[in-house]
Amino acid sequence: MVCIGRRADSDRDWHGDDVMSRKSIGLRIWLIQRLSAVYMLLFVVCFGIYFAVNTPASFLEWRAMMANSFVAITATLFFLSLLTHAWIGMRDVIMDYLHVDSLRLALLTVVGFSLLGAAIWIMKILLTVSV
Amino acid sequence: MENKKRPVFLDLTRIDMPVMAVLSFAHRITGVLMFLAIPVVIYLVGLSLSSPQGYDSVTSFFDSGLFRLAVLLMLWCFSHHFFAGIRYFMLDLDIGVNVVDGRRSAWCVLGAGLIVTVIGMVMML
Repeated sequence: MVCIGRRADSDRDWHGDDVMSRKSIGLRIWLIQRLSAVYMLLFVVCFGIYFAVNTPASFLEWRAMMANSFVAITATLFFLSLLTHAWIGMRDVIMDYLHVDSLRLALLTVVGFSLLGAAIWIMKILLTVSV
Repeated sequence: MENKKRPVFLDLTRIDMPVMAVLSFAHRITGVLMFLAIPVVIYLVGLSLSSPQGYDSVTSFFDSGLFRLAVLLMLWCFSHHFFAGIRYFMLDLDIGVNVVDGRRSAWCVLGAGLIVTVIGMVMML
C-alpha cells in the first residue's frame, strides 16, 4: 500500500526522491482521484436513497428538491468531483495512448477547457434554482 | 534512460487476456463513454429544472427506445465503473491482492455491473 501524508524527510527515504519530484505529484493525483471517487460514491448512494424515498412527481416537486441549499451544494460538489475525476482519467488515457506531443497537447487542452466549461455550466444551473 | 529498442509485443489478439485485464480495459472504456455523456447529462438536468415544459420534454424522452437504450448503456458504464472502482479501493487497502482473489473479485465486478443493468432494463419495461 502506498503511504500518504509522510513528511518531506521520510519521503526522501522512501523512494530516494525529493517531495517535489514527479513521483509525489503522481501520488497527489492518485489521492485526488480516490477522494473524488469516495465523495461521488457517498453522494450517489445517499442521493439515490433520498430520491427513491421522495421521488418528485411533478416539475414543482423536482425543482423544490433541487432548490434546497443542502441538496444544491452537495450536488454541485458531486459534479465538481466528477469533472476533476474525469480530467484525471482522461489525462491518463490520452497520455497512455497518444504519443504525438502536439496532438496530445491539443487534445488535453480541448478536454480540459470542456471540463472547465461544464463545471461553470452545471454551477450556473444548480446554484440558481429557486422555488 | 531505458533501452528504446527493447522488444515490445502488443498483439492484443495473441496475448492471453486474464479477466483482470478485461476489467481494467472496461474501466477505461466506461470512463471515456461517461466523459462523453457529461454535456448531455448537464443539458438534461438544466432542461428539467428550467420550466414545466422542459421537465415534460425530459420525461417524454423516455418514450423513445433509442433514448432508453442510451440510458441502459450509461447504467452499465456507471455500475461497472462503480464496482470496479470499489475493487480498486480494496486492492489499494491490500485486500484481495493475489491471483485467486483478484480473479474472483474481477468476475464479481463484471457480474454485478451486468446485474444492475438487467435490473434497470426490467424497471424500464
